Amino acid sequence: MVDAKERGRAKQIQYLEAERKTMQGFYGTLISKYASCGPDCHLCEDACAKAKEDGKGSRIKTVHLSEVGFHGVLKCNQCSEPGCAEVCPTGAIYRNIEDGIVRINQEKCVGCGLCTMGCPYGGVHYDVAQKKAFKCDKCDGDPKCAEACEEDVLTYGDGRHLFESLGDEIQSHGVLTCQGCGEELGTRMALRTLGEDVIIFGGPGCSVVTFMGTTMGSQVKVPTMVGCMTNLPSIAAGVSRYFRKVGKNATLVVFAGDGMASDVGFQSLSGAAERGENIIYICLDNEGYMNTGAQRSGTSPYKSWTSTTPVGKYARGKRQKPKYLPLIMAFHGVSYVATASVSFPEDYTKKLLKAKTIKDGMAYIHLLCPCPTGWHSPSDRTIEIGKMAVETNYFPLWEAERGKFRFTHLPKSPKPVGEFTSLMGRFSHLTDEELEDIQESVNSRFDAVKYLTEREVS
Amino acid sequence: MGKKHLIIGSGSAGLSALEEIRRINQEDEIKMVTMENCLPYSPTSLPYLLAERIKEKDLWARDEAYFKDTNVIFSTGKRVIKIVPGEKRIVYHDGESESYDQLLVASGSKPIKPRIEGLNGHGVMSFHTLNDYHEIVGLLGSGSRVGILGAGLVGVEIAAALSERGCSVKVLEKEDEVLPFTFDKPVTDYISDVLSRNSIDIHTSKEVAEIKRKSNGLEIVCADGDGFYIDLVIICVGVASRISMLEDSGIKTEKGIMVDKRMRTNIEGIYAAGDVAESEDFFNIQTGVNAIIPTAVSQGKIAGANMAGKEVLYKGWIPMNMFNFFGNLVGSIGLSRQQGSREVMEKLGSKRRSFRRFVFDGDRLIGVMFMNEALDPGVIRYLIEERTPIGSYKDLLFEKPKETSRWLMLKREEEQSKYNT
Repeated sequence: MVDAKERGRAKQIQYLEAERKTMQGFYGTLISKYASCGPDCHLCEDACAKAKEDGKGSRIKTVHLSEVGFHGVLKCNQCSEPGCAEVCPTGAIYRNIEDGIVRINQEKCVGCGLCTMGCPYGGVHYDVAQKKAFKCDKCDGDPKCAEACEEDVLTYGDGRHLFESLGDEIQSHGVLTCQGCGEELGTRMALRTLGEDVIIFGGPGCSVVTFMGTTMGSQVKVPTMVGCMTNLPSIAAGVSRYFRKVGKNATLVVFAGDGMASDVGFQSLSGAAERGENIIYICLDNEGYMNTGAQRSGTSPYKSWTSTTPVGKYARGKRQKPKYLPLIMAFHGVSYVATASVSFPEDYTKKLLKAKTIKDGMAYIHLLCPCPTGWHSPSDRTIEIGKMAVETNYFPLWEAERGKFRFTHLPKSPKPVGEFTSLMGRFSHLTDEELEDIQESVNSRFDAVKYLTEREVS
Repeated sequence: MGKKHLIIGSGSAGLSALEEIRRINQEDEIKMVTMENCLPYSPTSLPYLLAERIKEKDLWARDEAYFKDTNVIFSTGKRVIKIVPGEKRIVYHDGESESYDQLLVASGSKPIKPRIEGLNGHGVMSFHTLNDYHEIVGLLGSGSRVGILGAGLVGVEIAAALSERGCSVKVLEKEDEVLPFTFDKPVTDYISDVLSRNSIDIHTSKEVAEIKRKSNGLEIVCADGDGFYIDLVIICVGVASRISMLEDSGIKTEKGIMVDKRMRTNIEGIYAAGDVAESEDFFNIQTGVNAIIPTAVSQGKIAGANMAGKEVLYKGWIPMNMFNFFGNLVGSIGLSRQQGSREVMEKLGSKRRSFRRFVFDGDRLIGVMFMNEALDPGVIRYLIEERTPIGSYKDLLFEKPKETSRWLMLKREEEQSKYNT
């Protein structure tokens, strides 16, 4: 028994180590700013030429064009699909998948020079006299150019951290979500809009991979805090009250999945809403517990397949109709409630900006995030599916500002809901009658919102 | 079970198509057939093998493990003699036939045989396959006298290689200069100068009339009456698409197989790429076969993507060539010869050793020819293919080509990335 446990633990450590290694493998030399070298500085070139005695010349190339005031540096980008390798007639150029470095096997290099034509970035150094091509190999992990650079133009480090320290994006590129993830877009767009002056609260769920990382730490540039499913709004409320006390203006954002918002953590959400805590609560609705294997949640749609509501001879998917959380929140008297979709970024952005202006209570945004893994849909059709959800009135886009309901996007002629359900596998079992049933519940939900938009509710 | 992709030919076009199909689809069956009896190699590298710059074991563009990793069936020694599109199958030389769902014809090119008397027979060779190489190496002794017909890129490349091996080499060219369709004067003058200085005997404006067998070798008799005594003749007058297998298939051919921007032939499910395909060029001036590796690679990529069900369009080929001879480097990219009424800037260096020519069409760079100039050919290609506006920097680009082209490229990249995000 103990042995099995230990073996499991050892295996886990091994896995984590392997993951850490792959993540760290892709180190890169990066040019921090466009045109920021010192005039006539050749330190990197000199260092490279000194380190690479075989090539009789530097692989890294400075560009000094004083006529236009440009002083920069050109280097191999270590492309993932290298143009130089594609045209090499003997396959001498290859990309090592272990470390991401593109190298030239000198034994195989015939010196035809085609690689210099294949590379649009001037990344290959061709030695005419030797009849050989040479290129940057990052000095196998210890680049002399970056060491020599005095202007901080060339830095060397983990590719992801370099991105974080240089790019405008708050959320790192290449996060660990599934291919075609709608939620990844949702958090990315939110952070782009809300800016750097935010604190993020996350709980167990897919988004925690982004905010906490697995072994690499957070993948966002702003402070994050990860709590439990049950108490996230309470944590955020406490921090919010502290900032109010010390007189600081901070935007506190809670990212929660639909399971956390509607089931497990509903009491604390409901309490925080009722107390009017000044936080932005964004529910990333993928209609199920997708992180743990697509189990049913309170918001999973009627008749849909989930791993706990199977489809077979007797069972026909989820038997209950979903709760409509945005309306429930609206009737808490929350200052601002909106539904949004990752397929309508402009609409979503406007709503985020509105939410940011709310200073006297909670702002709640319910964001539909199609989930290729849990919905069994092709990963390249996330946006299309999100669009269809709105066009069929399956997920109407509206907002309620202090009790005033308003549609923000109304399809002129709504499509039948079958056009939405046919895009994914979790509805593939539907018969015509079942589809009729779903259409009815979609209609009644839409009618309810429509009724509210025609009146003032307090 | 997915579709079955069949690729005829294991050259650059076929290999890049294979890679692209696999990049998009990992389930479909892919089979590559070649008439050679060895792993894939590029004919481009053969002159370098002759010059002993690499060993034969390093010739292969891919190894067995590659085909195993990519789950591709690689079948050698299979010459395709017929395609039957109606039944979606091909027929091999041994009578066997094979079905396909999608077919890529990337059978490449074969050397042209000029009409010269006495061409068939011992001592007259072409140089296009590994077998040719083995045969030629077998016939060569030290101090062999070799006559090369045609001073195109392959011809002079082989001439240089053989001269490095210690042979006495004569090159006979019909036109009045070397590399007649790639470069023009003054570059060609300098090239023939250098070649002559390295004891390669060059004769231009020589039309060969006959090859006679003599007791101690061969005699090349020219139309003007001159004669040259040699041991071996290598024919390098150019290549033509290998399309004989397409007879009666209904696939439209001219010089090569006619393809559209998605590399499709006129028959559904059949694609062509590389030296065998005839397509539109980048500048929309002509259609033609551009038998160079970069074109084969990009056409193969386009064909592969479309075969895997992705709609990708080909931008068109641009001519480009580079030649390294005895420590000199010449290159030409784009429309560097056809000048017409276009704006041309050119400069000949001291001792006629270096040369640069930039050809512009309005605001855009469309062609560059250079000799012994420090330039990044790939960056120039980028500027042409991206239709980068040069604006008021034409003079600067011409005066400082290396720096300015790099700067223009970086500027363009910066603009593009702003646009993309």
